[in-house]
Amino acid sequence: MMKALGGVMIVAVSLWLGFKGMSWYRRRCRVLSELIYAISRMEAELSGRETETAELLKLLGRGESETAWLFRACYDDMEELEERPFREIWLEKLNESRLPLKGEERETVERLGHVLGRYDSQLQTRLLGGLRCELEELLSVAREESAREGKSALTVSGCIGLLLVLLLM
Amino acid sequence: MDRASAVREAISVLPKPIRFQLMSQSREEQGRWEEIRLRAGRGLFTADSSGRETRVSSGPQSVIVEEETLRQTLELATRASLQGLNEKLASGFLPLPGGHRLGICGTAAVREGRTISFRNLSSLNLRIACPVEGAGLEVLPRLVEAGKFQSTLILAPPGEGKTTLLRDLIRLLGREGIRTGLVDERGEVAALRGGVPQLDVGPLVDIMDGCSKGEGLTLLLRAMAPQVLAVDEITAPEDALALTQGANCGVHVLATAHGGSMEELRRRSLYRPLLEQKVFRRLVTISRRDGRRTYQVERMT
Repeated sequence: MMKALGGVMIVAVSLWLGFKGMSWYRRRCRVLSELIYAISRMEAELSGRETETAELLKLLGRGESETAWLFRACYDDMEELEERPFREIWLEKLNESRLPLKGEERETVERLGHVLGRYDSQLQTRLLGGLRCELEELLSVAREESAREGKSALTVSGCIGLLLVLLLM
Repeated sequence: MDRASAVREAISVLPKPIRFQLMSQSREEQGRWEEIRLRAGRGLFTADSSGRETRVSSGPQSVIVEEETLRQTLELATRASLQGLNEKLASGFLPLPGGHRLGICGTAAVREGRTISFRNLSSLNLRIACPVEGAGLEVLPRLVEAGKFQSTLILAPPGEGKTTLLRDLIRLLGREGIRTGLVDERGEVAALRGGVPQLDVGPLVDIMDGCSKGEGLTLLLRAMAPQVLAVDEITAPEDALALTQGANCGVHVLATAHGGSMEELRRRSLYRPLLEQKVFRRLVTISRRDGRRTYQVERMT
């Protein structure tokens, strides 16, 4: 009886780990989508009414999503501009946010801090458009990875669990 | 507000190390500053009313001014928002809270013949605004006839206080219950920031900035029904045309122009239609005597 219970527990734990791996991929896709949406809103705001950076951050910081936290945190730290440039504030908050991003994705989001507020609205909109396109490409790659790797993470962890059970029995 | 307090307000846009260095100077010293200049690779300077520049603390403790320092100052002054400031950048300065101004110099990035940004910054000039209230007190009564304000042209060479007098007259007109429409093309009269004038122009003023004078005057006439139309420095035929149109609509006009005398003005083709159509009824000229400004008011016939 105890052996059977232990076996079930091992399989359950390994499946849970598999689901966690799968959800990381899904979360990454969601965060990328949110960032793409945020950038398109920035583009619309900048080309429509040349909205100030602080107001943009405040606008995008509304809500409970992970990316909203990043924008809100940057807005809260705008007072520190007298000590350090905006790109450093952006980088620090991006690191603190622990968004599930891979190397190239993170680099692209980092560059947002070098664009915001540094140029006239026309050039900023164009540069933001470039960043959005890059993120859109990265999102399609991430979606493919999510479908492929997510399922395999679940399968592999499930198999490992079963193997462990067999070995231990 | 005294000059030292204005200096303390103005330097809030400077990065902390520079601000500390300036704050460490005596209040008496600060009261003499009209400008604070930052030059990349050369240092920090202050200029007094005579234009004489003094390097701030050139000892080992002095702050090193680099291009990055200038970038940081610009970022701080714009709150990391260069968007929407194209017009101001093109004119070479940014308006700051309190009516102070930040002049910019460097390698300009030009698009379609207009400066849109700066690739490199070489120097910044923080010009401290310290409004002189009361300049118009002795002038305004002489601009009123039968209880009505008469259209007036303020004439003086650059730096003699035309804009200061214009601003004070607008403020005083507001106090008399007269509604003024002001076109502040370069943001020097009211220094709008976030829709709020940074310099005291009184409560009864409707301000248009960021557009040409001609366009602004037409919009004000259409939308705000002003009793007086005010404009700083007539520089283009369109400005003169819009002022003439305003005067023909029964609105009084108040404007400034560069020039030493009426004769000089008559010789310039730009002002000829305004003078021929008798748009102005009063002429105010400004001159300096013993370091003090004096105002002469003449009837224009």
